Amino acid sequence: MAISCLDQPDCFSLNNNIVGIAFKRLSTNRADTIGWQTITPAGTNIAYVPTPTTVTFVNVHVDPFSNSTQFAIEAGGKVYDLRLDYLSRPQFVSEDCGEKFVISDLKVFSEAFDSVRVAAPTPKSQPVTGTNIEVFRCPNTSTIKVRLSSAISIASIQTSYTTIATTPDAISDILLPLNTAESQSSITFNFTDGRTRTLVLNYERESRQLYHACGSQVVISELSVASHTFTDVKVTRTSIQDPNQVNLEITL
Amino acid sequence: MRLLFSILSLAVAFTSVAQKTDTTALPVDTVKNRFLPTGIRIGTDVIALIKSNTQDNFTGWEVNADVDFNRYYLTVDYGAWGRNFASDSATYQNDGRYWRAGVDVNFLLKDVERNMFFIGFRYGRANFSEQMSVITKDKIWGEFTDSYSNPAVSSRWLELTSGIRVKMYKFIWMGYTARFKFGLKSNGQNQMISHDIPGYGRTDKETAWGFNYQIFFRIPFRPAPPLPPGKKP
Repeated sequence: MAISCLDQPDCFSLNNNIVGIAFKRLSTNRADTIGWQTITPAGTNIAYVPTPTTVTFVNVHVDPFSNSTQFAIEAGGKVYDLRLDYLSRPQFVSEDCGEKFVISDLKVFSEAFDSVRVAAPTPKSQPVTGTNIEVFRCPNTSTIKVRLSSAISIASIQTSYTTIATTPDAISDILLPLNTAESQSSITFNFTDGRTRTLVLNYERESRQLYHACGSQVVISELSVASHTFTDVKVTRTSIQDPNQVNLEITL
Repeated sequence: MRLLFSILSLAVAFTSVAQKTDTTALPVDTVKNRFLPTGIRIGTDVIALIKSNTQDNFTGWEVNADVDFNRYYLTVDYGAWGRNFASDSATYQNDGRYWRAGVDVNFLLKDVERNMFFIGFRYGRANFSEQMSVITKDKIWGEFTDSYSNPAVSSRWLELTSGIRVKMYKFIWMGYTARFKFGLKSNGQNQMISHDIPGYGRTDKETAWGFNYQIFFRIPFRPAPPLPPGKKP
């Protein structure tokens, strides 16, 4: 009887429905520098938000009562869909603990991310380190980094080829995607103080397949300033790095 | 060659003389058929009967049989087993039959009563059905209700055994068997994972222990061969 009591399972965190998702760069297989903003599981009223230490890794809960869970991941101003399929089967544990759901055979599906893979097909029962899903990002080849001389609040950034999201906070570093269809990009900055400034950049384009999963990418180089209405614009790097390094220093 | 033949002839002659005059001949071999069975023991597990009548969550019985081949015993168990459990959020039932077959090796070779201390090995199989119902709640995913069943599950496992068989009175024997069970494999767990397997027990650990206390009735076929002689001081 005594052995029987000691042999009973603990009734804590029985379901192994915690999946660790790591965001990595395809070029280095290391943690990405571009994190995520929110992760929302479909069918729930919760959203995961990152802490400073969890920008590139997150533990999410999958639905133990189903064989699939859909997530909406907001990262870099875009929303990506990620679907996890798995086998979930119940098992009776004990009269004290009741049941648990055992999840296995994890599979990942996403057409939005550059590349995804299953690193470990069995989820965890505790929110500990351990990656089940790796989300890879293809290297950035067409976005430059601009550093302003002082932090300033930007109302909008307008281009003819894409929409650039802005925040109401005063910022000094801005990531600007360039037009990959042409060798010139014209960008208009509308500041909240009413000022408007324009920047026209010239560059060279080359289509290259850096990684099979990424397909053909437009690689931008030989960056130069065609014209601007700022006080000064200085080119510090003519090519694009990932993670981004400052390409332009702008004096307002 | 002639000398060798003479020597051999003399050797044969002396041998013949020795055969004629030696009246203390070697005893006739009385254990020629010592590997033929001398009887069969048939019994039942007392613990299973007691549990069936005292525990609400268990019904079952088991019969055991063994046949001796000198110090080796071919042994077979057959039983029925059903369990039902209930918690606040789930209920579980299973029901099925199982059997085990194996060999025991007796290490009490000079016991006058033919009592046994053995170590053995078993191969076990079970076929059963099981059902489970769940009414539960998750803090993220909300409330959930469903029922599951596995109508045809088959399992197999291995055992190492040890125990004793003691002659109590004439044809009545009693004994126990301790079991170390391992190597469990199951098929047919489609909707749910089994919690309990007839003849084996709980499935949440890779190995399991078991214990039976048995009463046997022995049916003799033939007299047992004499015991091997003891060592002279």
